[in-house]
Amino acid sequence: MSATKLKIRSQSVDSGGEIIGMSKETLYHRVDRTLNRILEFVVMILFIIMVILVFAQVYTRFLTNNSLTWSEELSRFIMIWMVFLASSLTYKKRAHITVENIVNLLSPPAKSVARKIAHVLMLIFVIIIFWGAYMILPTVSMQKSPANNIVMAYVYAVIPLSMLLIVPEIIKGFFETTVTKGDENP
Amino acid sequence: MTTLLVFLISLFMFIFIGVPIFISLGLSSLVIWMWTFGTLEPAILMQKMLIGIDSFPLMAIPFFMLAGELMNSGGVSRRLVSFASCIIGWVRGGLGFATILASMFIAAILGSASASAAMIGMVMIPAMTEKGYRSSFSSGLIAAAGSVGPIIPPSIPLIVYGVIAEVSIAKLFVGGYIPGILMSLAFMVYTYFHARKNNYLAEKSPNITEIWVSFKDSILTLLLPVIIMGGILGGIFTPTEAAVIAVVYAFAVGTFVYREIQLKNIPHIILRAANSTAMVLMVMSTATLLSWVLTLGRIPHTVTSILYSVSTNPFVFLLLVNLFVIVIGMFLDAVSALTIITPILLPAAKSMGIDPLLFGILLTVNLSIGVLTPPVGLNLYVVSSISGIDVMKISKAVIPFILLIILVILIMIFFQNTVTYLPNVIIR
Repeated sequence: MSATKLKIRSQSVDSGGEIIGMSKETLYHRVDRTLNRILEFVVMILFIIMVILVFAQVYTRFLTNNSLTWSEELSRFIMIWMVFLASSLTYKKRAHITVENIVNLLSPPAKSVARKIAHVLMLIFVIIIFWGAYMILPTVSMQKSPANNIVMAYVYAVIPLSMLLIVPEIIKGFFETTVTKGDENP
Repeated sequence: MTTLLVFLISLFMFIFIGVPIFISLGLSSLVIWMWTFGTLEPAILMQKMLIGIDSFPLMAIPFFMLAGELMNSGGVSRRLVSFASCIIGWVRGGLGFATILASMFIAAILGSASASAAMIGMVMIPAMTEKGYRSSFSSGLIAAAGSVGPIIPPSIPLIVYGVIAEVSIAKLFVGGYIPGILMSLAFMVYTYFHARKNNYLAEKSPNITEIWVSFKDSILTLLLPVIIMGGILGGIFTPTEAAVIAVVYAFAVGTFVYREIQLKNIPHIILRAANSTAMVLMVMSTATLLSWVLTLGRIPHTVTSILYSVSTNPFVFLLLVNLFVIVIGMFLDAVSALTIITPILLPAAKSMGIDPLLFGILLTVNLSIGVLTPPVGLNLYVVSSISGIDVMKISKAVIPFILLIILVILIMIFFQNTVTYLPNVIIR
C-alpha cells in the first residue's frame, strides 16, 4: 500500500511517545505507551513466527518431500492474530484507509459534526462486535480446529480484543473534534 | 432495486463522512442485512470477519509487504537505476527511459504503486533536474511509471482480486506482464517525442566495464523476481510460498551481502510491513461479509439485470464498467475498490462470457489510474513531497500518461488475447 504515507505517519507516532513526555505525562499516556510497546512487540514476534513457519513448510517439503501438516493452519491463525492486533496499532496511527477529502471540503463546523458522527458510527461498529463476541464465544469454545485441535474461541478472541484496544482512541477522536472546532473558530 | 440503493447510499455515506473503509464496509453490510431480513446478527459479522482473512493465499500479502520493506533501501533503487541507465540511457531522453525501466524492475519486486514512485523519485528527481529536464515532466513521469507497480507481478491488488473472484493468483500474475509492459512502452514512446521536442540529451553510452559493474551490482536484486515468478510458474511454489522465499532472500541479501539492513532496524521494518498488511487485510476482512450479504440481498442479480437492459454486448459492458471504475478510482484505493466492485460486477461479467482473469486485470490497470488523479492520487503526493512541485501542476503533467493508460485499457478490451494468451499458455 502506501509505504511512504506510512513512513511519515509511523515516524510521527514513534517520536510522538517522546514528545508527550516533554509536557505533562499523565497516567493515561504512560499506560497507552506501554501498551503500544507490548503490542508492537507481540505483532513483531507473530510476524517472525509466521515467516519461520511457512518457510519451514517449504523447506521440509523440499528436503523430505512431505510437507508439515500442522504448520499451514497454525500460520493462518497467527496471521489472524497479527493482522487484528496490528490493526489497532494502525488505528492509533490513523493510518487505516479512509476517504478524508470529502469531509475536508466542508466548513469547519460541519466538518466537526461529520467527524463526531463518524466516531459514533465507529463506536457502534465496535459495540456490535462486542455483542457478536458475547454471542459467538461460548459456541466456538466448544469448536476445535481440524489440524491442531486449537480451541477456536482463542482465535476469535482477537477480534473483540483488537476492538477493545481502539475504544479509548475512538472516544478521544470524538472529543478531539471539539478542540479543533474551538481552534478554528476563535 | 431498493436494496441496491440502500446499499450504495449507506456505503458511500459511511465512507465519505470519514469512517475508515473497513468499518464502512462492515456497517453497510449490517444495514443491508437489517433491510433484507429485519434483524441484526452480530455473530455473523464476527464469523465472516474471521473467515475473510483465514486464508493461506492471502498470506502472500504480509510476506510481499515485508519483502518490499526489506528491499526498500536507497541502495536498491540506486543500483537498479544505474543498471537501467546503462541499458537504455544512451537514447535521447535517456534518463526518462531509465526511470521507466527502473520502475519496471521495482514493480517486479514490490506490489504497490506509491512505494515504487517513492523509491525511484528519490534517485531520479535530482538527477533529471540536474540534466535540465522540465520538473513537471520528470515528476509526472515518475508518478506515472510508478503506477505500473501493481500490474507487473507481484501485485497486492491482484492477490485480493484472485481471492475474492476465486481466480488463480498465479494466472493473474502472469496476465499482468503484457499490460504492464504495454503501459511502460507507451510511456517510453511519449518520453521519446517529449525529449525530441525539448531537445533533452542522451547519456553517454557506457563501455563494457561499466555495464558489467552495474550488472554485477544489481544482479542479486534482479534475481528476486526471477526466483518468485520462476518458482510460481514452474509449479514449485504457491504465490504465498514464493512470497516467504522472497522475504528470506531479501533479508539475507540485504543483511549479509549489501549490508544495508541493520539488525536494529528490523523491528521498524517489520512493523511497517505489519501496518500496511493491516490496512489491506482489515478491508478484506469486512469485505468478505459484504460480498456475502450482497449475494443474499440479490444485489449482483439486480445489477446484472440493469446492465442487461442497457446492452448485452460485452464490449459495451466493459467500456461502461471502465468508465465507472475510473470515477471510483478517483476516490478509493485499488484494494478497497476491488473488494466493493468485484462481487457486484463479476457475476454480470461472467454471464456475458467475459473471462474473470481479463476482468480482474482490466480492473487493476484501470484502478492504477487512481494513484494519478486528484483528490486522492497517492503518487502525486509522493512525488510532490520529493520534488517540492505543486500537486496540481503534477496532476496536469500526468494527463498524457493517463490517456496512454486508457489507450492500453482499450487495447486490452478489444484485443483480449493481450491479457489472456500468456497465462493460458504458460499455466495449465
